[in-house]
Amino acid sequence: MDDEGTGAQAPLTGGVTRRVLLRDGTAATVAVLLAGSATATTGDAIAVGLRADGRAAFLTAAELRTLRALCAVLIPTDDLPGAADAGCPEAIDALLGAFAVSPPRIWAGGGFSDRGGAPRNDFVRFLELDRYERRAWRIRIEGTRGLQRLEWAGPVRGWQAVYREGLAALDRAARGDFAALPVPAADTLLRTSRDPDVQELLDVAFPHAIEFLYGAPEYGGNRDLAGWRAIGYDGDTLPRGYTPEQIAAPPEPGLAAVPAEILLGLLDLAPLGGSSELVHGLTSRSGERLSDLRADLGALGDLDGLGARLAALQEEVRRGA
Amino acid sequence: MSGSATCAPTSGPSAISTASAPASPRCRRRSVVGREAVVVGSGAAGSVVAYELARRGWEVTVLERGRHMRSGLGRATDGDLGTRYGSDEIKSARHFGFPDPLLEPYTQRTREDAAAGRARTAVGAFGQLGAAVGGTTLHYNAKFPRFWKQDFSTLSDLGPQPGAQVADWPITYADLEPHYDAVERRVGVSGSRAAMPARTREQAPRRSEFAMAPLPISHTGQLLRTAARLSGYEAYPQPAAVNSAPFRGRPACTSCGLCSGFGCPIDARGDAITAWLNPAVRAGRVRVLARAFVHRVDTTRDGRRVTGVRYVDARGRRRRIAADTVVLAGSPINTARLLLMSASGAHERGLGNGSDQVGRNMMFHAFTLAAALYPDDLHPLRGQSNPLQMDDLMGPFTGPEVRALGVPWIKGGLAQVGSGVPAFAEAKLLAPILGFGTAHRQAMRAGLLHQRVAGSQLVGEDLPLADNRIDLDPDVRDHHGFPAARITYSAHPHEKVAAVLLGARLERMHLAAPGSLGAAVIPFPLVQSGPYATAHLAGTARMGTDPRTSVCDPSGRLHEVDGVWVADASTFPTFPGFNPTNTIMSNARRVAFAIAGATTAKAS
Repeated sequence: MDDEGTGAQAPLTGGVTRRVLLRDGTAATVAVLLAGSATATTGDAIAVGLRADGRAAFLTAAELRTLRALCAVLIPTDDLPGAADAGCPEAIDALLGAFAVSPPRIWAGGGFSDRGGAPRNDFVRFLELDRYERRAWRIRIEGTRGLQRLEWAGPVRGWQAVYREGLAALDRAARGDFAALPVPAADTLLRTSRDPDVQELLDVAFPHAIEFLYGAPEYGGNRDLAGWRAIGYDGDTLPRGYTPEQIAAPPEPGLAAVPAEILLGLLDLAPLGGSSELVHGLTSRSGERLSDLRADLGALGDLDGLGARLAALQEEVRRGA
Repeated sequence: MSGSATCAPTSGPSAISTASAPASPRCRRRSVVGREAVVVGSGAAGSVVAYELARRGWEVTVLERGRHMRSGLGRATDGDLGTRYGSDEIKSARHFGFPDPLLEPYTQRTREDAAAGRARTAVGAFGQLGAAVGGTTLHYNAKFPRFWKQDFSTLSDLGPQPGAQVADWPITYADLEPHYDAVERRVGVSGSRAAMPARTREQAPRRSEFAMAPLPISHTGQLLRTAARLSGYEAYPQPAAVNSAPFRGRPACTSCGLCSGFGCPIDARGDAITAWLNPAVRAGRVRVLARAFVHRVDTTRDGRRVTGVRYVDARGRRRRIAADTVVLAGSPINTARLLLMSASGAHERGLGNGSDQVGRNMMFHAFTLAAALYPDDLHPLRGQSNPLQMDDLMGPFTGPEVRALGVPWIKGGLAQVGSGVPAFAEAKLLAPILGFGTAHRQAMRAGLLHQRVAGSQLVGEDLPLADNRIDLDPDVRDHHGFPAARITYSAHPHEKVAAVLLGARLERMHLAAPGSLGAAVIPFPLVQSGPYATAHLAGTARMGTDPRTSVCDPSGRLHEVDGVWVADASTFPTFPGFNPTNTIMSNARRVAFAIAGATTAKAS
């Protein structure tokens, strides 16, 4: 058992080969290309969602296509890539197939990526899981599969089933091919479907799309830092961090000039911005489901008016842009 | 070092292990000088006890249910310890360093749910309670204030609150003061004595200057410091176990802003491992068993003396360690759970629970959040989060405006000033409000929470209630088959009144922030039912002099069982509004002194 986490990177199984493509010098995001016979070399490589035979890690090519179409609606591309174009579908697939490789792609390594001045990227070396963690994550991904010894807290439907059956339900609802729908039609279908498989898919897939678009790129989404660039976010900055001058720097306009009256409409939510501690507690308690997040936020009282105010914001920003 | 025991290897690489313990029957004391203890939990409390006992020649086994996350423990110097952590929001959201809710669920309900006969309303993760070698200190915000003199005599000074079990502490600030001094020196605290307000210095007097100068203050902190001044308040650098300069081989903080919820990969934060566990293991008398889940404390048949603990090891095997000194330090929820699971013929309601107080008086801090909103990008994540402290809302408040709302007095707490929210957390918060699609995308691009707010949080005191409690869930079990801890909690009117009155003051202060567009508050006790998603916990095994109304004596020893001590915040009779880690460590040190003193006295 790897108890210290400093051992050499375990080789990937399943004949996965890796080659690194550096997209640009400042944001050294890595992507993976298929390479015929390349062997895994340094730690500076990640394998995201593709096996040597070119198929997806868990989903079929057709399922992945449907998932891409879903992601395009969940977080749309505007002048910068949204979820579908920033690698989120492949990252979700890699998560569903996390145990097809070793170590499983659950937790990126510590302590630094190479975005904050570190000489090498530690994030690309995923951590070995111990017995406890393996057990938890296999259940989360594969479900309890009718095995009574795993059902101490009742049966768990794994993400693999949620995606497989949810994507099939989407295609059924679209008369065979969800990906063929124009975006407005796909959006409407998602918002109006009462199919429990579709609803459960949304419940899991939207948080996943968020996670991969706004999380570290080593997990496969946020490709070329598209997610962070779109929102003016620096991401991880260690070990460099910020200088005293940067800390004291005066405010800047930010990416979007948001009208003051619209910002004021957001005040209900603003206090949450003052507490990374409570926010972290809230969002981590919610796990990975939108419905759980909704329940937690719902407990914060009447946020009903907020949706309308934010919709107005969206209109304003779009008009101003 | 006495070298008096034969407990197999307590130094070198095998000192930290996920393997089972070397067979404990081989551990035989050969003299009264060398003593042995088992410590349950390796966080803020357990690590201090292990260190202090080892320093006196004890052999200590620390059992920790979580995983070991820092390579080199027991071999490397503090500054050379490795880490599995990173500034990685995905990892943090995937329960890294936390109990996994699928394997070890908590269940929850309100007091009203309980009265209505509902067994639970939620099952899963709870707040920010970590599980790892080093406990929650591996990802805490490292704020390090002291409690105040007045906090130890609330009942005598202010009188009771109807419906609550307010009690004086059986100790005073003076009893803790030398331990505060020692803990702060060892952990490494930045701050400025001169910058502390006069009342703070009077209520929490300190003999020496902080080990390091204050950290740089973020821009949001500067804005809110001005707002405080304009409101007649005083915000000053909050004592933090974060290096502003190199300290004991660990570097200065580089102000990345990702503190609470994240491990510190540059090791600028003083935690249970660097301050206590690593030096203790290196000295060779402490071993730490990771992934060792203790489920029972055994006693003699008459229930009067402890004989050992039972645990499940990393491979799922049931093990037992014999011990005549057992120290519980699993944090309040899990310490109560363990005592309740250790019921026996001699202790039918749970170990040491003749008072029926085990699990009761569960307290969480009652947070009120406030923020000023800005048109511009303030870079709120540049700088250690919440760099300032403000004590003007501490209280107590006893005026007519308080009594008019139906309570005799309120106590507030400190306000932590200046912070921000990283992107993934913000996106998750917006998701349930906006749903998927363009609205969410545009709101993220507008950068509300990660760019345009300057916020604060009031760490409000929570009163102890008999029915705010931990018990064993009748149905939900963990992956080993043991009953889950069930949290039953609702705020008392005290917290609601404090949130009304102090939340308004906090909002007014944020309105005064220069250049802001507006301000708002979220007073959790008013808007949320049930416990708050925080790592600030206390109560469940309160200490006191009367065995009929308390679980532990003033030194932390169970009234009813020889050899069992509680070293964590479970013993706190009340929960003053301060980040608790400094007091947890300092009180644990006091308990360790008592353990050593008591057994030395008996042995001689």
